[in-house]
Amino acid sequence: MTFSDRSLRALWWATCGFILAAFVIGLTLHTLSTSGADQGSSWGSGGFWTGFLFTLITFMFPVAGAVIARREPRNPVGWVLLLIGVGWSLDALFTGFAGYYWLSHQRFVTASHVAVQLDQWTWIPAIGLTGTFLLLLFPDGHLPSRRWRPVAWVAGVAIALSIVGQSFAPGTAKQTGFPEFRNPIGLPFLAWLVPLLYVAIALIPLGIIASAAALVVRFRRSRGLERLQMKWLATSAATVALLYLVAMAATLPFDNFGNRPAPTWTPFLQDLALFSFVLIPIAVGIAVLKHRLYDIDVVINRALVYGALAAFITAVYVAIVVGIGTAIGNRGSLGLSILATALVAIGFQPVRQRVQRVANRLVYGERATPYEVLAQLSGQAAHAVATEDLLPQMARVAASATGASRVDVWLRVGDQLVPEASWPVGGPGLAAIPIDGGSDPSIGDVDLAVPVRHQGEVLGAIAVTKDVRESVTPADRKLLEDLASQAGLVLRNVRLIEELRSSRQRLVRAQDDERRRLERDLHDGAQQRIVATALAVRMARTQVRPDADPAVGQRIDQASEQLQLALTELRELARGIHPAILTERGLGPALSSLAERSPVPATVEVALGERLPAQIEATAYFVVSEALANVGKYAGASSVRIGAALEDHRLVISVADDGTGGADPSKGSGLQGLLDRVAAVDGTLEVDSPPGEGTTLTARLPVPAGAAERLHPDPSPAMATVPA
Amino acid sequence: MTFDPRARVDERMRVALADDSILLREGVARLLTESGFEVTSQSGDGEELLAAVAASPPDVAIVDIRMPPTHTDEGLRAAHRIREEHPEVGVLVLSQYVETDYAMQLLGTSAAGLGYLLKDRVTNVQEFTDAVRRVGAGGSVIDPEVVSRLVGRARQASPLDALSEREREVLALMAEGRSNQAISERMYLSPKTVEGHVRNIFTKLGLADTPDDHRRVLAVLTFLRS
Repeated sequence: MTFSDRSLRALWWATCGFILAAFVIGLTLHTLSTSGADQGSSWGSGGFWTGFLFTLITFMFPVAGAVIARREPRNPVGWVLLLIGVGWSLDALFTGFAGYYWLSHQRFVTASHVAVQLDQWTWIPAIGLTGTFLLLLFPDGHLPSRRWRPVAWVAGVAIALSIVGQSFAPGTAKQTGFPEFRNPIGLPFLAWLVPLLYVAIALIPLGIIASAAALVVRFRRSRGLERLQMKWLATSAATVALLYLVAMAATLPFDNFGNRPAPTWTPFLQDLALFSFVLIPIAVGIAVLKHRLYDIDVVINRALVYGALAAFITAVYVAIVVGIGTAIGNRGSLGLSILATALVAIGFQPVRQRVQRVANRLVYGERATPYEVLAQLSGQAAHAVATEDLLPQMARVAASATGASRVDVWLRVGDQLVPEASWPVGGPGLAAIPIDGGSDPSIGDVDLAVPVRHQGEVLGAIAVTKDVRESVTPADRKLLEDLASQAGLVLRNVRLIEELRSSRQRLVRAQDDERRRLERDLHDGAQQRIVATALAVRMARTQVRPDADPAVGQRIDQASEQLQLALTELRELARGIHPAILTERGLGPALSSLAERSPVPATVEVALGERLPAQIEATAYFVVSEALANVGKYAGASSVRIGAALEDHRLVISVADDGTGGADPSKGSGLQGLLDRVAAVDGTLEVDSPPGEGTTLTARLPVPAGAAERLHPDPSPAMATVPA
Repeated sequence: MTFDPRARVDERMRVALADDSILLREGVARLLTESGFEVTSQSGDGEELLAAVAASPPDVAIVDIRMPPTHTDEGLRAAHRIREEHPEVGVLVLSQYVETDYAMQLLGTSAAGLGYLLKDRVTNVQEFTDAVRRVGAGGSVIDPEVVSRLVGRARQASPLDALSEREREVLALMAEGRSNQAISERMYLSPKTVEGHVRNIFTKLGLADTPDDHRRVLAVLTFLRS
């Protein structure tokens, strides 16, 4: 069925107008009635005001329906609610009409009989539609799947058949509150319909049960928005059902079995159950229209916890005071009451915790509760969690609390926000975002971003991206803001450490640059000059005449030798400062060169496809150089293996000897300097030296992806590219 | 490739020089001139040298490894260009420091007409001019420091252990690119004895003997480096 917007609007106006008119007329007549047609009701306290109030409450259904159908005219949920409203409004109209004209003024008796006869079925759309189609179609107006079509058909046919049957089946109407009369519009030839009518009416509760099952199915597989919507309806429906159960349970012993007059509070309980119906239209209205505004999780959570606790306390009291009391024949015992109180007092806290956990799991699923998240984070910040782990932890914690598919923690570095940690780890890289001063940073393409401040200064931000099917709830926002306010101190510390780290890196880099410059100056300056001088001296020697004083020649030869020694020393000096082969050819050839000079036979295994950042290469080189020196001095080794390989964005350098082992890294041996150097590039250094099994030194240096060429201050075109 | 011995006794060997240090370049030029070479050109960088070589191909180009603009391995690259464009020109690369890696890279697949020497060697006039002549004649020259580092390198069990002291000396001289004749002169041995040592060495190391001195250099260096 398709309707144009125009005809939908016309239908809306007509329906709303009809319902409003019927309610106004019905309520007016009801107010003017003197008879009180509802007095015979077996449910609730009865009376004029109860009837009036209940009518007002039923009016909420069409109100909700009108609002929904107006905003979302293509969503059948609104129209179902309006139809329910038609049912309730007819009920009000018919009851009011018959009550006023027939019972109060004895006029229009036949018309009143017709009205009462028709009122026989007004509960069917009212209750039947609420229990079937509203549940089946909520919240998007579609059945959960095609499999539920039979249910819809059976419910629809049963409702239609019931209405026709209740209207036209011949016989005597036994409508509550009205005297008996024969159906004035009964059609004798429809007498055969009566047994079918019972079947149809019996099918309605079955349809309601099946529809409730559909609701459960839909809830179980719902996500995000739909799940939020379902929670509203589920909560209100469960509340209505619970109140009805309580009211029925409380009433049963008195009315039917107890043969005792019901206490005065039972009708109030019944009223409460009756009035609770108002929750359903309200919940449906909020769910469809305002689902993003309110988060019901907390309400459900609390309701579950306190409901269960009330049940616990009641159960303990009943079991002890009534159970044991009956058994020992003393139900009024003060001692038993005290015992019960004591047990409740002892058990309360553990039970509350357990119930809270169960409620948390039911409501939040596997997510942590907001409180847990904050407690966890504070705990980590207070304990000695390594700083580099803190922000990833924060991302993980935020993700588990909000159910986000991705969380990024940004850190402010200078005038930029830099992505510092993400959950899940290893997502796509993010570019830094420039920010200005104290204003809130804007992070695009996330569902929610909260700035982290410390003393008014923006230090970073936490950004949350949710699954497409999920939406950010107010609770998520609140949680993230709480998290951000706690994170201020953490980020400040992280930034301090970050600054310290980068200043250390700058120092090491400056030192490396200085060393390279020195090496170059030595080779291209001093060394050249000495070679030229040595050459001049040599040539001068050839010009010494054979008849000259032999001492002259000797002195010149000595000078030549000294110059030669100076050159050798200079070369070694330059090499120690910074080997040119490292700058020019990279780590592999430099390590081979080291191995050639090693006093202990050394083999090199290098698996590096590309040049690495200069700082990483230099650090790796000096680690191996120092380690080889140590092997030569202390290890008593007959061989040493040098390894260099890239593993997972880390350069892993190892120097393993087959010496005596048992090296103590804390005792000098130049290791502290290496540790500092390695730490400056965020690397780790490990010494494994079991006695008798040799020593293995392993350095792991992180290599930023794609950083190799970019970071090289002096890239030399590889000679390998030149054909030999 | 075969090389004629260039027995131009009456003619002076022609040399092109490239070094960005004028002081040193002038010194080397004077030394060579006084030692009977003809210095055909002096250049400050690789490009200049290539132009000069193309204009008047010398017998040998002597190239400093570090020259402008980057002061890293311009000399090596110029050497490769010359080998490519003027295969008949010998190239002697001088360097402030020697590394095996550079030597092997320079030699590539053929050591013919190539030399790699520490720059300091220019001060030993006899050795230096001898090296220039050998490169000019299509031979090979590898700096003794490279060789001594390779031969003297700490090793675990190796076929080198089987060599006698004499044989090791012969091996080192072979690695420096010297011919049997030169080795026998240097060690005051008869050519026959040297040939015997060489045969022994090749047998003990499991290398195939080769008549060409420059092939021998490569084979021995490769062995020493492995």
